[in-house]
This record gives sequence, structure tokens and C-alpha cells, in this order.
Amino acid sequence: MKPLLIPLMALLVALHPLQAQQKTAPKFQKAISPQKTLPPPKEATNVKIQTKASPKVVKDTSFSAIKPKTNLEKVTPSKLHLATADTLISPVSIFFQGKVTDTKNNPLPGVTVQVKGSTKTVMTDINGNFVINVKKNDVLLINQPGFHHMEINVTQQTGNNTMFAMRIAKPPAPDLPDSEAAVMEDEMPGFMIPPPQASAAAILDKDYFKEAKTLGEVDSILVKALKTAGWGDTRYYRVMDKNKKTLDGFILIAQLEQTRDDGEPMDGSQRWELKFTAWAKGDMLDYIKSLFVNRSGYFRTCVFVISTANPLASTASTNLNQVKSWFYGASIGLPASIANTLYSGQFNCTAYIYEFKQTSSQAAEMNLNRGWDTARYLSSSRILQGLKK
Amino acid sequence: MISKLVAQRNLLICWGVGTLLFVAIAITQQAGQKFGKDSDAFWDWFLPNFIPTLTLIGGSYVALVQQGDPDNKQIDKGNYWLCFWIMVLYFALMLLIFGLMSYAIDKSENKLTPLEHLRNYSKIIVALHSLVTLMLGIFFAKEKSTGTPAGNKAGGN
Repeated sequence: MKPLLIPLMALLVALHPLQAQQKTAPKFQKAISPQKTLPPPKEATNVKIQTKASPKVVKDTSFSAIKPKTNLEKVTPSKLHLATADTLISPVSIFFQGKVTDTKNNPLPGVTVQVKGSTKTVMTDINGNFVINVKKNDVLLINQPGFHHMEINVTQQTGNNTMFAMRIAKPPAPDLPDSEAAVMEDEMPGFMIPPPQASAAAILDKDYFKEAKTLGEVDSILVKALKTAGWGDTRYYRVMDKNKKTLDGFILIAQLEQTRDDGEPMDGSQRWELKFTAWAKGDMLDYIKSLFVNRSGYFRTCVFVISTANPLASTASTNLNQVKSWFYGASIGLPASIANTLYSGQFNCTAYIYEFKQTSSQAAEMNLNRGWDTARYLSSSRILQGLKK
Repeated sequence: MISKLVAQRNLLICWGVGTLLFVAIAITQQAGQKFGKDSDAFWDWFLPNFIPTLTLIGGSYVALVQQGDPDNKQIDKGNYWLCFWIMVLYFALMLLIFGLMSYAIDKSENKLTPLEHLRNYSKIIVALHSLVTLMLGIFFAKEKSTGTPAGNKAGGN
């Protein structure tokens, strides 16, 4: 019996249709490709990527021994100046552990790290850390809207068969300001209002913004509330009406979070995972349970529209992939022209909650059945508490 | 050689137990809403993989018993064991396919539904199922009598 089963299992794995599917990039991964969604900014973009070896590697290959390498400048010669370290890799399969920061060492969450030519993609967590399984000669694509994308060649091989380390850094561009705020309004994408139908939407109390004098300060209040709630990253759009005319204000989009059935955010890094997994990894008993029950995953994001217009009414529908693309197609900061706009009582801040439910038996659909109002959603996401502070 | 009656009974027990196991799995999955709106379609896929063969084996066993003096019919032991292990292999394959469900769906980035996962293996299931019925056909056809054939007895009455 056993000799028969082993070749059968191998046959099953070989014949399984997902072998073919893996050759096709998922729609979402196509959507977040910076070449398609975000043209390179004209102004300075400063990206510093640091990668760490595990303690095991540090023991054998001192981080300080890594020599700078500049071949990555070939990828983005005009804009991106990178100093890289040698890559210490295994000949077969290795876990690349890294951290993505900006030039001020602020971690960059939500940065896409993808193995070129495959669908293997990971996102940096709230601290900018990521781990990805790579092989020798793989090329890693690092995409961050608002920054130039980077390609990292995994080339050099050592005897260590488990880990490698690499450091990439970008020196300050001499002719460009070393600032993230160098976002030009003309390169900021527009977002048409009213936005598509949301799970909940409401105009926020103006008391939350009573100390704000400019739209930049409104943004700061929102960002502070989001950071208090655990969010690490926000994205921005211009406000456009149906005629694609730019309106005063801006749109802030928070990173997509994953929640539990009860609406509470998932714990740890699982909160920011963009893929729903029906069982707890490494838990065989939970895996067996997942074979018998239809489990649900919930994804949620908040969109804040700060505008003089009243954008509440909307009947257009949207889907999870579209909402994901909103975030990754947006600008990373507010241009000065918008940030310095005086905030007056004419502006409303409307919060839209987009929640999607995905089960193991069907694709993600907008969840309109929870019956929560906006305040309940914002409270569940800890944003309301941050605003009140 | 082995008594055909004993062999058929064993095969009936084998297929019956396997079918019961998978029916239990299927019912549990239905209770857990595993297939969601595809519940009916799941049964459409599931039942033909087990029930016709069960009725075939059961029907032929009953027929053999009713023929009278079934114990004197013998069949080749090799055929019996081959048939038995192909059945076991079939159930093992089904178990593997059901067991891989969550993993395959996860690997497909949740693009596969549970039913689509099962249907993806329909060809290999049909191939092995055909082999089972082929072996059963051979098994039922072949027999040797030890002593007075039961058929002749019946015919003589």
C-alpha cells in the first residue's frame, strides 16, 4: 500500500492545477506593479533598505564585513542611488529577512517585495520588516508608491545554506531635497467623489479637528489617530468631482487591515496580511478543522474624504482588489499646496469604511451585513479612540 | 483460491465502509457550510463517485447469495487482492484530495473554491474509478466451481 501511495501523492502534486496557476500573476499583484500604477516621481525619492541576517548569520558573516556594492544603480541610474552590500546566500533556498526604511530610518510598512518572474510576494509589516524565500539568482523587486522601484539581484553565494544578508542604502541626492514632502500636486493621482458604496460612511465631528488651521494639520490629526490605532502608513489622493475637476481637499486612505469575525483587528502582523488563510499556519489540528468548516476572513480599510463637497451619496459598487489598488496607486504624502490650504468650517471629513468578507468557498464580497455604523467601525479599529485623544 | 462469496462480502464491506466514511465527511462539511452555495453541486459531484459502485457490489453479492450454494464457487485469490487494493487506493486518493483542499485553496490565493478543487481531480478520480469497476467486472465474471455447480443445480430443478 505504502509504495503505491507515494508515487500517487507525487502524481497528484504534479497534476494539480495550481502548478499552472502559479505561472499567472494574480490580478492584485499586477495592479500594484509600480510600472503600471505609478509613474516615477519627478522629485527626490529617498529609499533606504536595510536587510538583516538572522543571528545565526551574524555569527558567521559579520554585518560590518559586507562591502558596499553599487550595481543596483544600473537599475535606476537617474534617480535612485543605492549602495548595496554583498549578498550572502545559500545555493538553494533561503529566507531573506530585511527591513525597508526611508532615509530618516522611518520604517516603511506595506512595501511590496516580489521575486521577479514569480507571484511570490510579501509586504513589509508595520515595522518595515519582511521575510521572503528566495533562491540564488532571484531578482527581488521592491515597490513603494511614490518611490522608484528597485531591483535587487541575489547573486553571490556562500557556504551558508540558510541565510544571507544585504544592505542597500541611498545617499542623499545632492541636487534634490532630502525630504519625503517633495510630493508635487501634479503627480498626485485624483480620486473621484462620491466614492463607491461603503459598508458604512459618516461625516466626522468637526470637534476632532478644531485645532487644525490647515489641511496639513487635519492630515496630521488623522495620521496621529491612525498611528495610535496601529496603522503605519497612509496614502493620498486629490479630490475630483465627476467631471474630473480638482476640488479643494484631499483623500486619505488607510492600509487594509484584516479582522476577526467579531470585527476586532487580527493580532500581530496577521493584521496586515493581504491574503486570507483559513487555518493557523503550523497548526495541524486547525488545518483539519478548516477542511470541514467554511471560515471567513474580513478585510477593512478606512477612507477619509476631506472636502468642501458633500460626497455621501454613492451607489457604485467596488471590490476588494479595487480597494487594494486604491492604496497602492496613491501618493505617499500631501503636496505643500494642499497641506498649506487653510482649513475652514466649510470642510467636512467623511469617513468611509470598506469591509469585505472572504470565505474559503467564495471570493471576497463587500460586507454590508454587520449592521455597524461608522463610529462602531472606527472604534473597533481603535481610530476613534485616537481621534478623541 | 478463495470462496467467491467471502471475497464479494469482503469487497462489499471495503467499499461500504469507505463510502460511509466519505458520506460522514461530506455531511460534516455540509454542516460546516464548507461548500457554501455550491452544496447541491457538491452532492452532484460526490454521489456518482461512490454510490453506483456500492449498489453494483451489493447487488451482485445479493444475487450470488440468492443463487443457492454460493460457497462452492471459487475465484482466484490474486484477482481478489488486486481488486481489494485498487479499492483501497481509490479511497486513499479521495482522502488525499479531500485532505489537500485547504492547502490547495490557499496556494491558489483563494481563487479556487472547495468544489473547484475537487473537480480539478475529476479526471484522475474517474480513471481510478474505472479501474475499480473493470476489476470488479473481471472478478465477477471469473469463477470456478468446486463440486456441483450451483447454477446447474438450480437449472436442474
